[in-house]
Amino acid sequence: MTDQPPSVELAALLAGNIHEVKNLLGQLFLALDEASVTAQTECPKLAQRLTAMRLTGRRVHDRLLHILTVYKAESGFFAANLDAYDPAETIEDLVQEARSLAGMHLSIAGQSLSPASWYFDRYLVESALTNALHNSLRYAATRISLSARAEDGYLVLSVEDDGPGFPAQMLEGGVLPLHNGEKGSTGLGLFFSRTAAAAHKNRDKAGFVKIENGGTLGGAVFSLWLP
Amino acid sequence: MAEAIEFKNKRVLILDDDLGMRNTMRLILGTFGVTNTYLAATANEAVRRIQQESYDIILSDYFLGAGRDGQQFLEELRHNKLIKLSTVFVMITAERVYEKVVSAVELAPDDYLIKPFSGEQLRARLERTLIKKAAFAPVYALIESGELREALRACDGLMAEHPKYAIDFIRLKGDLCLTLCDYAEAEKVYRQVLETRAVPWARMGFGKALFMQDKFEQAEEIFLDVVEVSSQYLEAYDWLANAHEAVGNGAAAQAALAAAVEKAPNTLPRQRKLGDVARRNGDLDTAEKAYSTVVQNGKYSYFRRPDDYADLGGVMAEKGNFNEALSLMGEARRQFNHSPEASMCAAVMESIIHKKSGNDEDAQAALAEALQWQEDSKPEISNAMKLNLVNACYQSGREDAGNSIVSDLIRNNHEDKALMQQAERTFEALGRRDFGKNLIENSAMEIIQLNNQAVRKAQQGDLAGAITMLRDAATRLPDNLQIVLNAAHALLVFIDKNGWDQDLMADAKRYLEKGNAKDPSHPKLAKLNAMYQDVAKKYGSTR
Repeated sequence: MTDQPPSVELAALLAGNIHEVKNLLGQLFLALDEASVTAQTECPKLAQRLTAMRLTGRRVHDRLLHILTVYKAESGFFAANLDAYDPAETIEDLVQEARSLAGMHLSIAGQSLSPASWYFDRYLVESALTNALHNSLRYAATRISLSARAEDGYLVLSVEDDGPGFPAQMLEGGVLPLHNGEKGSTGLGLFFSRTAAAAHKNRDKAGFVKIENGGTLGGAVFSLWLP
Repeated sequence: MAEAIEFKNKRVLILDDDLGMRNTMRLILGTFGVTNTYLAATANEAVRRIQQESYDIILSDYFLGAGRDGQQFLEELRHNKLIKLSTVFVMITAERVYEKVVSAVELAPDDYLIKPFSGEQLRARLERTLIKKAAFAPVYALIESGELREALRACDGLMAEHPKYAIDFIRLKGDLCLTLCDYAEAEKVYRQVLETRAVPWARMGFGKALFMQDKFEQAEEIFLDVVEVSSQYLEAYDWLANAHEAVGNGAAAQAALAAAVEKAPNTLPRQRKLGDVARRNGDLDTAEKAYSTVVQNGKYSYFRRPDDYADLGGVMAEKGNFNEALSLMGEARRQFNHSPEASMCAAVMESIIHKKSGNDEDAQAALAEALQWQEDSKPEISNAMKLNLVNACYQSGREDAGNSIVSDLIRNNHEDKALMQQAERTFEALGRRDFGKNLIENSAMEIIQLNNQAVRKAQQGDLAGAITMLRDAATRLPDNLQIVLNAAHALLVFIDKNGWDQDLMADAKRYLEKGNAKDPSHPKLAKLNAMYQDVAKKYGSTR
């Protein structure tokens, strides 16, 4: 046996295992979804608890995705696969996802004022938006709004809520705390969204993420701008 | 919200090698009303099911184990026309490979889902794909009945009706133009897309349109660019290799194919092609490795061919590994249950291998077996295999048989430049370059003259005379698609001009069916199929 330089191998090994965990999560998601549909008719109380479990499952997946993104970005594997999609469908999907995961206290609205098709990587865009949505689902007081519109030659996809909004530290944009224990935020979610947005290029423009507080609902506003 | 889709009557096939996933999928489909679910654990099992019964929706996992993947499965289904255009095919994939799935330009699944996904997501994707397929249904029907011109015309109207799918209709138009050999029009369609966004599929189509118009250097540049920008677009490597070969750069062609093979070792047609190009380049090690992958992975495939064993055995023999080559031929016989085709191919190769190893007697015996098979059961063997047979004949002194097989081969394929080159190389290797060249040229010339005579007759207005000549020739040379299709062409022109004739029309139909069966992508075929439809319509006949 010889000594191996561990860093690269370890990273690839971890990435491989994360993929496997994601596959298993895939089965778990479907099983939970099915259980939750069944519970709705047979045992509504259980259905509510299952909804909370499903959201937790989604958040586990979000985290895995973020770790993978760091790995991919570092090894230069991160690229967008553009094709034409209908942004209204993306919003529809998000609204469905939000409704299926929302507690009784939340109302979800969706609106699309965008062109009928836009070029983007559906997987990256949906992953970034669902991550933002999962956050809103935890922090919103009563309302979440999802929207698509065109502005300045960009497609703007936004997730807004009426919660307390982003912490000032995050908005200032400076160095994000790698770990702030209490809320469990690692800043990797935003890193993922920014990497995903920036991978969208059109001629001399690149995509970006805007986070702010206020908007139509007065809480957090997460927007993905895609050229 | 899109209009609701009724899932109750849909037949769904789930292909996944994981039992847990298969069952979970069945349960989740049940939550939105699917009751007709069928499960398959392997691609071969799925193919068998699909051959027996049709399905509305196929959900396939990308990883199928045993060297197969969902993309190969889809390609086999489409190439062999086992599923209809209206069948929904959704690929389920892990994130790790999703780039490969979205990068399949030519044979893309209708949609894909990345694990983990929710039941709701699955329902929404299926529903949208079914609605989209419904919008395309009129074009699909036209395409499936061979009315490609009509299909192309229908695209514009449907596009206006469903602006949401405009890009998809444009993409289909481009495909149809390419199939109809309307390359200038295809170039225009793709250029129009490229003006708004440099999407890889449009660049690919643009490159193909250029290539088919013999603008090889320009095409080479485009494909190089696609490979550079979207390194996952594997189809681009194939076309890049074609372009490199067309401008005479065999080494670059091999490099392009090797790069693609490294990314996707399971795509067997590409491995085959790498083997061919490497063998032509004299790189026997690479050729052996590629062919051997084809044989090993092909074992699990429904679509394996004796030729794969022959290619590998041939290269082994060229490297001097005679025993290995012979035992491979034995394996080929067993793998194909001693079918006439496989036995004949194996015997041909055994003859060549024995001869190379200096064993003249066994070479003679093996050749005798091959010729016996040919005489007794006339198995359909490929042109490449026929050239191997020719090679074996000359090597073992069966001049007469060699002459007759090669003349027949050329007469039936006088337009196939690649095959003629291959035939010339065969004679060169035998040290009989001039003899072979002569034989090949004479055989080809015979057909060219016959064809020209017929065309001249037609031009002079003697359409009936031309038809007589071409029909005779088509009977004599049933495998020469140029002759067969020219006969069909002349018949259709004649009927169009002189009015309906049931017998002539039946012959035209027979010729076209021959073409459709033998080489569905023959450049003249789509045009003639469309012409047949037009003539049939003109005289109020429905096929």
